[in-house]
Amino acid sequence: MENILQTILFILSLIGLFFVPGLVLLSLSKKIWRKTNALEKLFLSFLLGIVCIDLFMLISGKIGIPFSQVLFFSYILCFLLISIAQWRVYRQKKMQPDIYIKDNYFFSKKQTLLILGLIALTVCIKTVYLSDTIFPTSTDLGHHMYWINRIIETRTIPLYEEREIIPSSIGYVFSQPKPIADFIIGEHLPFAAYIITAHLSVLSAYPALFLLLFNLLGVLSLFSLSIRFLSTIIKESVAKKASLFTLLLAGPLYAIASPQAKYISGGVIGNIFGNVFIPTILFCFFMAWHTKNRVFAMLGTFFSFGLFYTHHLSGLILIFIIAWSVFFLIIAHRRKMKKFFKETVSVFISPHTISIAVIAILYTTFIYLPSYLNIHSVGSAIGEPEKSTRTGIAFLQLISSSGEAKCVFGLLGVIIIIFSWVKNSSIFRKMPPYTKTFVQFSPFASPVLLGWFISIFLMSWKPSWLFIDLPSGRIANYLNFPLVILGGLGLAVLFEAIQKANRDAYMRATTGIILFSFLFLSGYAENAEFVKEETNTKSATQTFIATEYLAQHSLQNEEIIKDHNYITADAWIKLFFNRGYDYPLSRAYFKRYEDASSIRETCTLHMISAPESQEGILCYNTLRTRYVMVNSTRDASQFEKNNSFWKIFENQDIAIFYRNQ
Amino acid sequence: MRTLLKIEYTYRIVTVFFLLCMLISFLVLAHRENAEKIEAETNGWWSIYFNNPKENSIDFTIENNTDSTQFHYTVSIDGKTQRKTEYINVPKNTKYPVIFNDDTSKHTWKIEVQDEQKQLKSLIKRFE
Repeated sequence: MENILQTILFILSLIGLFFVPGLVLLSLSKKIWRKTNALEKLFLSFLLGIVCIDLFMLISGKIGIPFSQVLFFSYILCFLLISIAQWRVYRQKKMQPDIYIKDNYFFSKKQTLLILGLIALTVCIKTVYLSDTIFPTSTDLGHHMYWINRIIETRTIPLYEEREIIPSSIGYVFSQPKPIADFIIGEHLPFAAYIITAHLSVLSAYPALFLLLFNLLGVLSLFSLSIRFLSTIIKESVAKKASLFTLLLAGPLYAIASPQAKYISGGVIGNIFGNVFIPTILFCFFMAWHTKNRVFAMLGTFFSFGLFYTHHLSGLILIFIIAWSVFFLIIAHRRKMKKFFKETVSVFISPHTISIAVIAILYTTFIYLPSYLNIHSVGSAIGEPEKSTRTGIAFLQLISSSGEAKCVFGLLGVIIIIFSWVKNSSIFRKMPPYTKTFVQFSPFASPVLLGWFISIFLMSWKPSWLFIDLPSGRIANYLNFPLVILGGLGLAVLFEAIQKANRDAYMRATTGIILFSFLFLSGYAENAEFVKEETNTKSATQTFIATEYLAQHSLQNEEIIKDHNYITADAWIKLFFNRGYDYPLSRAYFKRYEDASSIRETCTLHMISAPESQEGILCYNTLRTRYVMVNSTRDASQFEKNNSFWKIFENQDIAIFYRNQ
Repeated sequence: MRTLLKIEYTYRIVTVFFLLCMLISFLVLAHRENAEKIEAETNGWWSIYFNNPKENSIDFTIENNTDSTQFHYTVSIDGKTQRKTEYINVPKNTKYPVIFNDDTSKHTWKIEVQDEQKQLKSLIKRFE
């Protein structure tokens, strides 16, 4: 019962903190309100709510107002009052929706049922997968949760910093805390907001549920974007099918593989957030261009601003997507450059967008500068890649990692767009009529889709061409999103072509079955790869129970070392102490100590692997390390034999030793 | 206008349905996590630990969360001389503290605890 109540509080806090403010702000612009449908309002309002709470908390933190339930209830109350006033105005004016799409572009009953079925299937697959991984154990989520917990405990904006072990004249010492560029404030503030408001535990299912909501809204934003984009590329009946194929590819087919449910259980917060931001920003820019509406451009700029406070990699990718899209737009409009330039400037460079840019500058100057915006971090992301993981992914590997079927049909979509472009050019203008298809070159959607695909493709395939020095595998995950829209286009056009080419119903059915088999086998084979056979809840619980014992008996000035290789959910251990991001010390993965490209301290390795060694003893003595937490079957024996250690705790998985010197 | 409302109606159905799916998913997953947590915390494991880990005392506790309730512990000096051995009954989800009144400020003390499945866990304190 308590659990159900907590879940209801969690849902209410999400509605109050994110959806209500977002909807209220959207409704302030009649143009946006009337030009978007309910589904679009859903993800637009949520994202708007996310950026607003970030900015609100940053200001509160700056002026010294502690984050509390009272603060967040006041925030919600303000928006509720505005919404009541708005509703009264709306009721008087009897406003009606004005969907900007061809008047007859709506889904039939069968198609609507199919959409509902695909949504249900998507949610169902993700839920089934997450039911085995919902218990908080993942390393990334553990690291993020430390900072979220820090915000909740200190009620203010945290300082992202950690100590390092450095050599000294006496052996080793801890350095002064140094800034960490890997964490960005916007990844943590929304979590802290709803946890404080609903009074929930950090160590629970709710962070993963929040990520699930984000991920599914990302699927909806892709679906909506595909409807808008594809309706300008292909004729209505095919566009509807293409949107449904997009939903199929973005939803149930690859529901578990990265960057979907796998990222939810893995706690890859930044990527999941970025994956909703990017399609939504493109959606806003598309609407701005198509409806010649500056408010949409302003909204897109506002989301871009929010993205840079949320995830640096997604922000950088957005810059490349926009740059390549602009490049293709210029080529596409080269004959009417003056008109194009005039239209673009009037929509995108207006007082609306400039005001957002000014707010962004003021925020970064006076309120809060994102941690990654320092010379070292920027310098480390731009330049000639050196590490093997950053030199690009082979083409075949890229296809395999993105999903074969998705890639094949996505590439078909690219070819279709290029063909529709070339068909419009002077060379093909006098071609025979049979070359004319139902595909046309959209002045905005086609160049943007090409720019979106090619920018990420090059960033992950040949990063050195663009002077990108970032993990190629992480960038490659972003390729999924243009691919699902292009894949939807490719599939719909292919089915349409098959239907037109074959009058024989038997042939059509056979070809359809072959194509669908390929699609489903590829999608579900990838899903199956990530299905876990058993949960690690029991093992993680053993870790937490041992940590509780240690937190109860250790003192603030006593250092602890634990192992990352053989302890389940060890990243969550620091939440029990709340004594710093680097507390307790951790023996990292063994390969990290062998990595020639980055020299790191070896104290943490020696202290667990060879505690009797001279180096190990020196590290223990100079770093004041009193406790060791290891896997009881893997690493306990070297401590049991060592006269300097007492074994003070043992459960199914964990042994804790105390160094009595 | 009727067509426009029909379009909006379709999207509203999809939106409401999506929110409903989310609600069910949230309830199922939160319940699952809570059930797993309770199960993992109260079932299938036992542990031993010193009550005062940094002091000379070797008082310890057996915490049982398994169905087997019979435990056998041995306290020995320097791994040879047995100083105390006892069969005890520790019901499920209870803690059994073992208090040791002897002088324990010298020698190496080893405590070994075994359950019905012959699973062995140990604690060690070493004094000069």
